[in-house]
Amino acid sequence: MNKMIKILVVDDEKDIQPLFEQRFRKEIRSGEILLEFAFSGEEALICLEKYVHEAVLILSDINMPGMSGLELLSRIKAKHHDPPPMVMMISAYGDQENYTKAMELGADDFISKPVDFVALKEKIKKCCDG
Amino acid sequence: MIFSSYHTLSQNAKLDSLDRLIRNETDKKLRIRHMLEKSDLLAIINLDSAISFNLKILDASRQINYGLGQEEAMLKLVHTYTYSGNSAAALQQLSGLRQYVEQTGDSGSFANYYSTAGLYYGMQSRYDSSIYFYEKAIPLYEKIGNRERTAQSASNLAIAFQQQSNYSMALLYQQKALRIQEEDGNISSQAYTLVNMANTYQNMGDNPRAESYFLKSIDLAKQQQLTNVELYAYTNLSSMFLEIEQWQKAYDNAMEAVKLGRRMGDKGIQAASLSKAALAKANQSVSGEALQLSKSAIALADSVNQPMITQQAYSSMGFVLKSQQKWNEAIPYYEKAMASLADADLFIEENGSLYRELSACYEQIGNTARALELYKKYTVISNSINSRENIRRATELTMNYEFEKKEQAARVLQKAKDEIYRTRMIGLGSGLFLSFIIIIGALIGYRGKQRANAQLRQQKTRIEDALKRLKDTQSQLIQSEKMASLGELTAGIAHEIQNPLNFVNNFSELSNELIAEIRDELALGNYEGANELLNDVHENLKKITHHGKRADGIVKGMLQHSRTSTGDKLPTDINNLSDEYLRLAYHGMRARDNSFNVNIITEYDPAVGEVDVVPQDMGRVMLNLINNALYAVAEKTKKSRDNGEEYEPKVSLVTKRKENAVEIRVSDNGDGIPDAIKDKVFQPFFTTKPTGQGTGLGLSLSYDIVTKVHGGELLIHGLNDGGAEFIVRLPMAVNQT
Repeated sequence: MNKMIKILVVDDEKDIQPLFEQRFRKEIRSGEILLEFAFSGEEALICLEKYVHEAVLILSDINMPGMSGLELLSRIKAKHHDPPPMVMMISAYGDQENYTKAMELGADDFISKPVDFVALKEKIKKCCDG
Repeated sequence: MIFSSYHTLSQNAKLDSLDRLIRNETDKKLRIRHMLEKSDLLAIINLDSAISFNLKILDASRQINYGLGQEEAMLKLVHTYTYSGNSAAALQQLSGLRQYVEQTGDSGSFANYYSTAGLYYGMQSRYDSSIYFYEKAIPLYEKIGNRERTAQSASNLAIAFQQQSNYSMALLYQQKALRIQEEDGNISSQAYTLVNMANTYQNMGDNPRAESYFLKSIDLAKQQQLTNVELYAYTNLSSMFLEIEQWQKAYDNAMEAVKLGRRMGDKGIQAASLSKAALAKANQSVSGEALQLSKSAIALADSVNQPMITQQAYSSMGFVLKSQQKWNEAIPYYEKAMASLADADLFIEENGSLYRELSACYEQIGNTARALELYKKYTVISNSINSRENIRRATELTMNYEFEKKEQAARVLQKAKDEIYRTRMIGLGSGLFLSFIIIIGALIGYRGKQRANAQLRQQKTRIEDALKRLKDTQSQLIQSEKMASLGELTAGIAHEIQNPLNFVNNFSELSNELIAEIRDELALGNYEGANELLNDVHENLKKITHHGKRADGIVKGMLQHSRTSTGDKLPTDINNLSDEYLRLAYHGMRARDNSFNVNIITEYDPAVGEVDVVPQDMGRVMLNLINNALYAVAEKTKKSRDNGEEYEPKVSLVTKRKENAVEIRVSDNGDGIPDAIKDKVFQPFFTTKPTGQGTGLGLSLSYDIVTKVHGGELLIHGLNDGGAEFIVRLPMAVNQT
């Protein structure tokens, strides 16, 4: 991880912010990772408008009030940023249906809650290096 | 058939002339119109031939593609099938009619369809449906300015309300009908409406008003020579006065009925009315005259040989003798009265009092064994009064009319029709039928009486069994409604529980790491850094506690939901409770359909605070209301998508502190609740969801919980954007803040 990775975390749970900030404390401090937070699909889209091309990775929850994570995913993938940002979906229940749907819509990966951050970090590393 | 030869002759003359018209008419459409006219006549004489004739008209109309003819033929088919008791065929025609009407889209046709459906369901004793359709028909008839059918439908709608013992609504519509008929100077119809209003007042126990309306209707009926109305009024008046023990008036009215019966050469009517007169006189202790009246009644009854008439005549004699304490002489009359009913396989209310009277006679002559046996039967019958009352309702609406009224009504129906014919459009008179529900119904009632009574007894047993089973299953159903909504919840719970778990797991791991770092900092002597990290640990532990409790609450909520309520009221934070169940309902919905999207708006008034409620019960209420709102917007989303319409689904949950109450409003912008079913949504088993998707118990249980358990209110509001709003209002004790 030698270049800075910008990650947009989308979840309707507010506590997701302190969690990610603590989990990535070292990476943030070292400047490897920059975290942005959005608490709804709508907010995420506005964020992406503001930081076109900046976000490299988006981590989004699926079940949110209003725009769902899957809809957000399909909107992001439809916009054809070049290169398109990586999108990893997070969902409470890793059920086959949500998984299949997310993959069909072009998700780059699928993570189940509770989130295993060690595994997540490896995935991020693989995604962004490879 | 029961028409006297005089009437049949007159009928035949009319039929002959119509047949000639039909034969000679070359214009096919006009010919069909004549045929429709003939069909009305046939319906009075013989329903079966009317049915086959209507099928012929339908066929002929289809061949030349004559829409009006088809529609009228189908209307008549529904009527005739309904009256003949072939409800399956009637229903089939009704759905054919609906398809036809939906294609033409004409208001008049729709109104005709609705009123016909109203009639069909009314005759099936399905008064809710009947009311629903008539309430649709009336505004349409009003819109197209068809006053006559407006009045007819209002009048029939009133009958349905009357059957439901909703007398105020019955009167409302009867008054509406009467107003129109008065304005239009339609005296015959007024006479019918007035007699029905009198009947309503009688049912309400408002005897003075009933009397005055019967008298008004008699007045008009005399002008128009509507003998059936007159007779109906006199007979009812005499029964009413017997019941309220005004013997002289009972006698006078019975004698008027006797006079009419004599004029029409109807011995049955005379016998039945003489029996009533005899009862009145016996009660006045004028035993000589009473005896004479009963004798005449018996002589006439013997010559007509109809079980109900025989019963009335013989039991009147029994009563006359019994009031003279001639027990031995009274017994054979009562026995004969009872036997006449038994032979005819009739089961009627009068049986009960017969058993009682006869028992009293046997007791007096010392035959206590027989007296006891009869008294037991009397007790059984009077105990079953309630269930029998239900059965009576569950049969035809006409069962409320006494036998002789039916017979007589049918007899003079033809005359009334002749009268009306003059003032009515020819040919398209399917509406003609409608104002005669009672009368034609009476005819059918007579035809089906025998059969109905045999069925009645079977039904009585069946209904009693069913009632018991119903009670047993009711408690099971309430439990399964809980389990059903629990099933809906499971997915929501799975989601909900993993979110707090995510935080608990991760924040506790993080805290461990932080503690390791704190140790490092302390080893370096960096107390300030260590302190900062300690603050982080502290924050994390708070989060762990918070999310741990959250998970705990979810699990507890789930368990409580499935458990029978302990009924304990606890101070409960209404905003928290609402929000908790909102999340559960929402995630449950999302788990079942993850393409589902909705804009959820919440507005929690902090002043609401804690209210004493049974938490799991109120939770169930919230879950039901929110689930319904979500369901409504989900349905509308699907519909809009299919129709390519723009639609933004919205559900809002608002709490508000009022002076002495707390209000929770759950609203949606779905398709709303039609006014027609607003009263019913709280009834058990009422559901608009497709079969299998709803138990129909959710709102009814919610209603019970809010009103009975918490002494609150559960109200429905229509919203301007077409959606629905449910308002829960919970009373608050004064000391609660």
